[in-house]
Amino acid sequence: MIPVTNKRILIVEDNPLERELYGEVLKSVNLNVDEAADGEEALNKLLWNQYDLVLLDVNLPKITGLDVLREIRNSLETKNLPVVLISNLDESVFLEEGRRLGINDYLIKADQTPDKVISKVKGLLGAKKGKKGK
Amino acid sequence: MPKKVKKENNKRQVRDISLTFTPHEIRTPLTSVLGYLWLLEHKGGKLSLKQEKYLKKALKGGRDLIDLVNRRIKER
Repeated sequence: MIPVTNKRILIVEDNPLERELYGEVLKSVNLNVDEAADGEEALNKLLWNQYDLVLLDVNLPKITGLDVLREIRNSLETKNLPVVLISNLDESVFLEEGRRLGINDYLIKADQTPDKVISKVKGLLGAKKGKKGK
Repeated sequence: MPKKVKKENNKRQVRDISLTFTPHEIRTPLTSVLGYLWLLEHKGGKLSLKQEKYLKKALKGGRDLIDLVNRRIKER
């Protein structure tokens, strides 16, 4: 497996309990974590920082996760940035739209475990083979 | 309040809760609880024997609850 430590992940999640959980889990495998609590903050951070992957909740205040995804894919600098969409079980419509817009993977909140989150993130970071998303 | 009435009220409360929340709604916060317990188990540093014992019980309780919720989802 390609080493993926020290990569930078942006977690976009409005629920602080879940945001902190994803953050702590990813930090525990030596990944660098930055956080955004809504779509606006996420876009602002994406504009000024470089990330290797984004964990993106679909249901966000101000600007939705799908709108953030659209912006990511429309920008020359971030169009190849790996995005994992996080959704609830009853949000399959959003997931479909996410697939159409080019998500790299997804997590269902009710089904996620720390091991699954680590495995998905590491898998995508490894698959990038060192390419920068931005 | 007579014991029988109190018991009926409790039953009604449990029924009301099960009608208010869907299994999916319960499972999401429950996965967060299990996630934090995972962090404590794997990254929480050295635990005393007592802490380890309580953690294992909390994890078992959480997993049992997830299994119960999953069974309910399958029944629907």
